[in-house]
Amino acid sequence: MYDDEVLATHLQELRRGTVVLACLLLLKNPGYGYALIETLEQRGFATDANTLYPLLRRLEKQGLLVSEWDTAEARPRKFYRTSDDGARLAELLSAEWRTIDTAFDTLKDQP
Amino acid sequence: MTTSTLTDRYVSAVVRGVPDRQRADLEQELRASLADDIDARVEGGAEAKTAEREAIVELGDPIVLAARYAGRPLHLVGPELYADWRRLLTVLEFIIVPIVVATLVIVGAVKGDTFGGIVGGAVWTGLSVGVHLAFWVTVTFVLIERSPSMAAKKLMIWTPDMLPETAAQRTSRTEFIVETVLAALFLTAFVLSPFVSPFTDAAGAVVPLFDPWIWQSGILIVLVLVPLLQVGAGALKLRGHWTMPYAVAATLIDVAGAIAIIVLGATDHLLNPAFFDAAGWPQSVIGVTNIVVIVVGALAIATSAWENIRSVRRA
Repeated sequence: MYDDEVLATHLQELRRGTVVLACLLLLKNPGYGYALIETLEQRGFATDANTLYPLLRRLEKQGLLVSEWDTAEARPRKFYRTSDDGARLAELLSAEWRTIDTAFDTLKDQP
Repeated sequence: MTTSTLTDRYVSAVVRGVPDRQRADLEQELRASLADDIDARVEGGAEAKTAEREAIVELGDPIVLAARYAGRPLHLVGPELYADWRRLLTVLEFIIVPIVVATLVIVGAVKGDTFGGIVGGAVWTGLSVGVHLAFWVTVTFVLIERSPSMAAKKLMIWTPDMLPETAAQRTSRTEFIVETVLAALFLTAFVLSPFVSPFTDAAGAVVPLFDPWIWQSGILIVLVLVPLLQVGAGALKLRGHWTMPYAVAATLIDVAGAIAIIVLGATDHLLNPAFFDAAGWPQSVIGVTNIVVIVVGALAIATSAWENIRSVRRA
């Protein structure tokens, strides 16, 4: 029987990359760092802050997210929003996810 | 603000690790994120100081976080370059170090340095060269790892042709037999030489083929022990009980033997001129033999390390 550490590693490896898609889908409505962590967790995509924050900046650098400072409130926050490119990538990744899922089903169905 | 808070210290530690132009923006965002997290914890009933500490602990080591923000690797040499690094370092270490050691021994012997001085100097310099090689090769790879344009270029493309030979049992056995026979001849010659010779001097004493200095100086011990140990090592190799510690020990033994014969050649203490006189052989043969012995010794050092380590893989 495998131990918890093995399970955790495999789960982590399987989930790696899903956070990107989750962010691209979620940020069709603008959001900021801390709120995004909470939302992701509620939606079943629990992510560490020290992974998510650098990821947001990387996606922004790749032009998949755009950002804007909201200085209207007492605490200025950087809001991220999915760009058109980002939305297109999200569609592509979603399709890929479904393809993989279908492929898994065919594996499970084999006699 | 007169005293710096934990947040100030953390944020400044993180932004120090990212490029200048991102700092102001990152600092503001990181402060806001931390403040949001602290507020949420305080609302949940935590004490302000504890909340700040916990929020920072969750973000973790500033060096790691800064590297992630800057897209820097968190390793010195990554999987892309590791194979190149290891291959290059191994080749350089096993070529350059033995050459340096052999050269130093020869130079020392020619200059007439003491045996201890020669060995000590060669070992010390060999070690220093080995450490320097490892250090500078690694530094170079660390720099390549951190310059994206260079990291994209593979140093060597691996092909199946680069695979080492596998165990060829037949070859190993022949090698072992030849080695053993040579060692036996060598030992017999050295041990019997002072007692057995076709020539005697005026006083009726035996004129040995080999220089009597070999017995007087005690270097004979090395010349007897080394072949015996080499045969033992050969037997181990043949039976497949060959591991890295054995390989290192065998290399040291080979090197000791090689140094001994280099010393004999370089100090002109191998053959006995009196024997050549008695036999009527030209003295020039002694000089030529000395040079041959030095060259053989140097080559033995250079090949021994490579051969022994390779055998570890075969075993």
